[in-house]
Amino acid sequence: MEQIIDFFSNLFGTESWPPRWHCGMWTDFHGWLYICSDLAVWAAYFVIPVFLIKLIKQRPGIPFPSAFWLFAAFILFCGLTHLMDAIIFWWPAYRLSALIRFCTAGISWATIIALFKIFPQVLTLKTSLEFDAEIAERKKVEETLRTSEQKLMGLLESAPDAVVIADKHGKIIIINNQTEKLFGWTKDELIGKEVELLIPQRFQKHHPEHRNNFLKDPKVRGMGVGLALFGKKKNGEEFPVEISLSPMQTSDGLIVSSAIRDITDRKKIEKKLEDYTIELENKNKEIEQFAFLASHDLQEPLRTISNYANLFEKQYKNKLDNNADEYLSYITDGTHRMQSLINDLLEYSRIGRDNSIIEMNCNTILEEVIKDLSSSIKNSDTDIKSEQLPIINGYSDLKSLFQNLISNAIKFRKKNTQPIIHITVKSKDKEWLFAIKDNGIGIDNIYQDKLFKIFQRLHTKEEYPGTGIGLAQCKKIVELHGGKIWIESEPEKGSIFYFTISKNITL
Amino acid sequence: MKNKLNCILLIDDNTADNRYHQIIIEEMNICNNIQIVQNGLEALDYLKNENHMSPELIFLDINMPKMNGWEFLKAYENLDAKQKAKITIVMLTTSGNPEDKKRAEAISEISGFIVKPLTEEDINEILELHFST
Repeated sequence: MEQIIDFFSNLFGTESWPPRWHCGMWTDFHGWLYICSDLAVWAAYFVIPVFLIKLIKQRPGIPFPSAFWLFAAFILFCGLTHLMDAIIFWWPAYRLSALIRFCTAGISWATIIALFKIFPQVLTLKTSLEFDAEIAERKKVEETLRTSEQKLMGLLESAPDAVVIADKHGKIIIINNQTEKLFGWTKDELIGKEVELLIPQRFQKHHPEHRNNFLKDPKVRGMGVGLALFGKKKNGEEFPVEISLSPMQTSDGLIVSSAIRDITDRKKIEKKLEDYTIELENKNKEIEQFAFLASHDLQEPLRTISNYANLFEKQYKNKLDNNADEYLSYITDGTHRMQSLINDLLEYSRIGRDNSIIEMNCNTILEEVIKDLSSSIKNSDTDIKSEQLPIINGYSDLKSLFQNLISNAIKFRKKNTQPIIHITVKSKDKEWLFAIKDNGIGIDNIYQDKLFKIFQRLHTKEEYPGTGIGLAQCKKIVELHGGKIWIESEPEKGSIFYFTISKNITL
Repeated sequence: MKNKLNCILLIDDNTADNRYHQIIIEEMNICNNIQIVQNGLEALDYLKNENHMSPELIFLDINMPKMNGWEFLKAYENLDAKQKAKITIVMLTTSGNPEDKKRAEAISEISGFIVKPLTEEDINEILELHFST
């Protein structure tokens, strides 16, 4: 402790040592080489920190400025030790020299510790080569961005729709020429304004709310699907539009692009089409009503003719001459045929008139049909097999469908072969697919599309009686149930009648 | 042979049908008397008349001017029991409309529903059902 006190109190003391010139055998050359070199080193070490400090003062962006300060101090102190070494040749202040060396050592280690600390960060610093490469890359990206921006604008301009791009606050950022044409505003007038400017007054109030809802779950979609949307021109004129929205994430936040299509023409066509459809439906109903009323009202006079023709035949046959009998038979034949035609027509036009949909068990329907047809089934020895059939919703006319198809299968059986009818059903996604298969005479391909038309007959009355309405009825009943009917058949092998019944029948 | 009916009443505006049905019934020789009226009103007048010949069986058409079949049935309900006694009503229709049939089945006074023309088999069936002793 005494030594330390002594050290500091005599810091500048020189009495304990001779100047270095007198210590040992210095030649002039040797001594001055030593002294000059030390001074040169000191001078250099004095200038370097000046540069360092100037550097960090003038280039404020330089990383780790504290490290530069440390370096400057470290070099300055190193210089001081050399200066001291030179001075000691005349002024042997060894205590001061030791203190300067101590300080130099301290600052050296402080610098090393600082270096340790910043070194990992220093390693990540980009060299100027890297900077150059990065800048080149950036330029390239910028160039690409510029071209893609040009492309985007080109796309916007070539799009058939008016495109309005707005930021998340609903301020218009970009519009294309089509927007100018459609709405009658110029770009300068619109950009920076709110999109609500393009909407009729009555929708403006709620639009910001809709906009915010879209921003909560932004994805490409149509706007107000199913709703009638309108745009408003500069002159206040409204027009129907269709709008699709697509969100885009940009560095400035979410922006929304709206493609707006003027659908005035389409709406007109739609309206026209709708009118036509309604007209057509009305005409169709009229025709059905006409068929119904005609067949209904024709029955009465026809019945009178038939009644009295029958009576006439009964009372006067063989009482007049042969011609009279022949003519009479033609009259009664004709009236009977007309009666069955009118009856069938009436039944045909009645299909679906009772428009109530009820739940029906197809197994029960089949049982009833088999019961109704029992005599013809028995006479023809027909074997009817059926899968378990479903319970479905439909019109009561469904029974006629089964009845017609089964009685047809019996009627058109092959001679000398036991008729076998097989009924199957498949449950499909939205419908039931029924199949009624027989082993009858079948039917040639060329006739198959004629088959379901009203009053189309393929055989003479003498071969197979009937008016040719059965399958037309079937078609009408199936269509009433939202289904289709068709046939697969080969002559002499049999036929399969397929029909579908929708699982979701609406009135 | 069953007992002959005393009187059958035909209510129909169609004279050709009336005549035809009259002939059919006459040919079957099942009643002593056939009375014919043209609509519901005339039928009511006939039934209310003190001196009328009371019918056992009525064939009633649906569509008639002045008072149709349904309207007649309504008025008929309000007649005196004496005037209605032992009467069987069978409805006659032109087209066999299923809705009419349903409606007729719901009315207790109606015993049958026949699509014109009336035939011998129809009449036999009615006699079998309602008049066999």
